[in-house]
Amino acid sequence: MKLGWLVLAFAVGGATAALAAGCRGEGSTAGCPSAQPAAPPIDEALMAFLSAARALHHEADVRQSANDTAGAIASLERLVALPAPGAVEVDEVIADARARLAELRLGQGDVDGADRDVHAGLQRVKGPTYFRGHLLEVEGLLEEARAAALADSGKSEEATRARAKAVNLLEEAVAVQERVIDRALADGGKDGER
Amino acid sequence: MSDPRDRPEDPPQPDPDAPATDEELAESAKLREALEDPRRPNDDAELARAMSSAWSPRDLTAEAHRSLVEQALLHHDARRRRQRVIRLSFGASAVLALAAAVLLYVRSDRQPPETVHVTAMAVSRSTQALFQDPFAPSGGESARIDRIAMARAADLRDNEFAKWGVR
Repeated sequence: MKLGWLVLAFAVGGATAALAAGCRGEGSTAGCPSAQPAAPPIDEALMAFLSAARALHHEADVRQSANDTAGAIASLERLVALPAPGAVEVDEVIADARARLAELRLGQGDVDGADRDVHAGLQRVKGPTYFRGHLLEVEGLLEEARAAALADSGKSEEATRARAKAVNLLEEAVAVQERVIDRALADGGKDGER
Repeated sequence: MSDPRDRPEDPPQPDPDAPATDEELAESAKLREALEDPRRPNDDAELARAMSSAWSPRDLTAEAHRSLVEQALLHHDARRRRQRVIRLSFGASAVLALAAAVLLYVRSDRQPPETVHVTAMAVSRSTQALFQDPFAPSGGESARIDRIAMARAADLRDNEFAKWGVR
């Protein structure tokens, strides 16, 4: 009886010590106080996505060079629908693909489709990066094309508003790019990669 | 049917008129003393007292009362000692756990353990730093994804080496 209590007491103590060790370790921190989420390491899932995205961009190149714009759009639509892990790289690559899709749709006269792609891309990249700046630039070009179409159809007031919007977006794009450049210069290249 | 004459003879019965042996004399002396002094443990004396009380109950003598109280207190003391042992066990275990936790905390802060490679692993981050200039108004997407994929492939290789402990 006495031995049983002793065993129980030391089991409780041992479990407490093990819990303390677990919270300090590198394994799962679920259940530990103040566990902070960290960026995931670069892994095979991310690389698989990047590899597939790369292949589909090059596939779109081949189709574009053969004047197959619809085929290029189809390749890029597959890209943006790829299953992907949650990672910053994924958001940026998809944002860039959305910008390219928007440009291709704009070339086809699909202004609304291009608009949808631009906005979907902007949802992916919120901070000041070249990716966001590029999307804003494409959106400015889109509004410019919309203004031209409105002017051609005699809707001068709407065309004027679209032109003003285009200028605002292009200015916003320039502002984002300038912030990126300023930050890169302030870092003195510390943030540069290989 | 067996013949009763074939059965072995019964063991010899003790002679009731025989003089008492030394052993019997000693036992009877012990019983007498136990009956006179209830504090002396003796099963036969307990039985005799129980039978006597059942036949003609009477008040406990002061001596018998004191003896019962002493025995009860002895039991109580033994239980208290057991409880103290349990409390001490839990206390010692808690101190041990606390000491282990402090030790682990100090050790993991002081030593860069063998898991240091995990903290040194390349993690997911913006690819912005791969590009020095704003993107061209049109085109260049394939060149960008080429660069991103190559940079992250190198990161993945490094991570694999780190995991294998060869970096």
